[in-house]
Amino acid sequence: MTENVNEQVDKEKFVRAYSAMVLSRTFDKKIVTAQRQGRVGFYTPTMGQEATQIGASLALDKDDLIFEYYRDVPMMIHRGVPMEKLLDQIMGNSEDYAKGRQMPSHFLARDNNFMSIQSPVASNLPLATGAAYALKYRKKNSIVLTTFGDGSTSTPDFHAAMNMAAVYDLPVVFLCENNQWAISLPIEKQTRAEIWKKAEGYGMEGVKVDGNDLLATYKAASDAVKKARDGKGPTLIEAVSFRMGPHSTSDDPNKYRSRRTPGKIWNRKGS
Amino acid sequence: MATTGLKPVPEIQFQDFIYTAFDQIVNQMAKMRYRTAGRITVPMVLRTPYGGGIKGGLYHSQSGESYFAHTAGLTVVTPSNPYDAKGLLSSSIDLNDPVIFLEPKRLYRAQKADVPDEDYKVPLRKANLVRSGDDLTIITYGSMVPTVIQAVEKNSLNADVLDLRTLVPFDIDAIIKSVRKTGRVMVVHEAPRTLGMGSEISAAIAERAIEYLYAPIVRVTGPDTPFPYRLEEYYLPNEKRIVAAARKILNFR
Repeated sequence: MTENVNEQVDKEKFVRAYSAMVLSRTFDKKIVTAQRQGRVGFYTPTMGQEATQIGASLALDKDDLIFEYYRDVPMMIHRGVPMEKLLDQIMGNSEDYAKGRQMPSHFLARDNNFMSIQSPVASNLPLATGAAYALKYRKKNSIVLTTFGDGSTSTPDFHAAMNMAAVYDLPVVFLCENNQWAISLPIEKQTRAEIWKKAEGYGMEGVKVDGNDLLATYKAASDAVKKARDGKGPTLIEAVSFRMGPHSTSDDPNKYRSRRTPGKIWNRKGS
Repeated sequence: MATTGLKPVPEIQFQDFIYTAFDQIVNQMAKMRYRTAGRITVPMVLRTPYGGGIKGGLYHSQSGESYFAHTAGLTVVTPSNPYDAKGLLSSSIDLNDPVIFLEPKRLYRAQKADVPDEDYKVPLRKANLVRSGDDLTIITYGSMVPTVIQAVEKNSLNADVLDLRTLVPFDIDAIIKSVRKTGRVMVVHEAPRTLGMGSEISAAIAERAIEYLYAPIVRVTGPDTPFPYRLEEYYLPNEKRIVAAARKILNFR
């Protein structure tokens, strides 16, 4: 499969993807440091989810819409949102797209089709389904990608959005960035079922991929995007990775998981 | 859908059921224009039947207009008759921002009137002076308008009756104009008293025209209780309570 993908994708595309991964990791560390120094008020680090997001981003066209969540900086960097604009948002200054009207990490980049972040988890999903409904109604060729964490799958909004998207065969891809932690709640206490299997309950295809494998995420997202664009309905992708940092700069994960946890889980997942 | 080029006009039946969508209404619909500095807007009209008088118990009778009135970013509209229902709905759809369109469900079957076939507008933000008089100003809206008119006519009250039509932003100019003329004010609504529209209207009058008042402002409202089933007729403001309040205001020295 990997060889196949390699054939399809030109070298330049991968170099760009890799450079976005490195850039966003560097950006992430810089912002966390700046927050610790008191220069930034708040931030939600992304470290560990770069391959998931950029793999999915590779599968999208320019006109596709993204109803992102607050940890999607790598995807934004890969889609060409200038880093200055992300910094403007974090600083809440007059150059910010939203003129400093929201706290840090509530990004918006309408020019790159990032449709503004909601704080309550999964509340972007019904918006994504609604937008997909509008695109289908208007006979547009674009599709919608929406992202969310593992914790989001326990909400009523997840259910409402998944159900309606499946019923109407809407052009939307649900990308669950399963980083195994919903703030302090581990995945074991989030759900008894595997997330990708929940799709079956809605009559939708579910796929599980290694979220640390750029090519695997890219392949899964490409298939789902193609299906959505061909009018064959939505897909749920569960991309498993790990939240290497805290939930936010206000969070101290050492209070609820051991310092050794990351390595332990990563080894178990074989990543 | 509204963020992506459509102008949806959904209905949530009933208004009592709306709270499961409160995040969408308060944080998305109402605030999207603000929080994206106008880069994303939500042009939509959310129709929802509200109010009591149909023997529906608390899940089919409440008047929750204050929740929406308290949320910056929403325009809140309620008609009191068929002509206004069509004209206000048409104006609401023309507005490129979200509107909560509260339909007094008791009036669905209580009133029958022909409306023009063609498109016409009833302006938003403009109150309607439905009865004219010199002694008293009665401010009301939606389902209470016919009740107030009946009380005024049967008891020969010499009152201005203002039908607000738009609750937020309400027509303060029309209110102040009438208050300056009569100096006596009653506000009537079926929603609970505490922080109901009557509270805000009373405060706005006090801020702008307290020197014109001859008597304290009186509110005739639903009580601060859950909406009852069997005791519905005691909950809703009626002719008797409106007339008693009018006598109290008019006799104040």
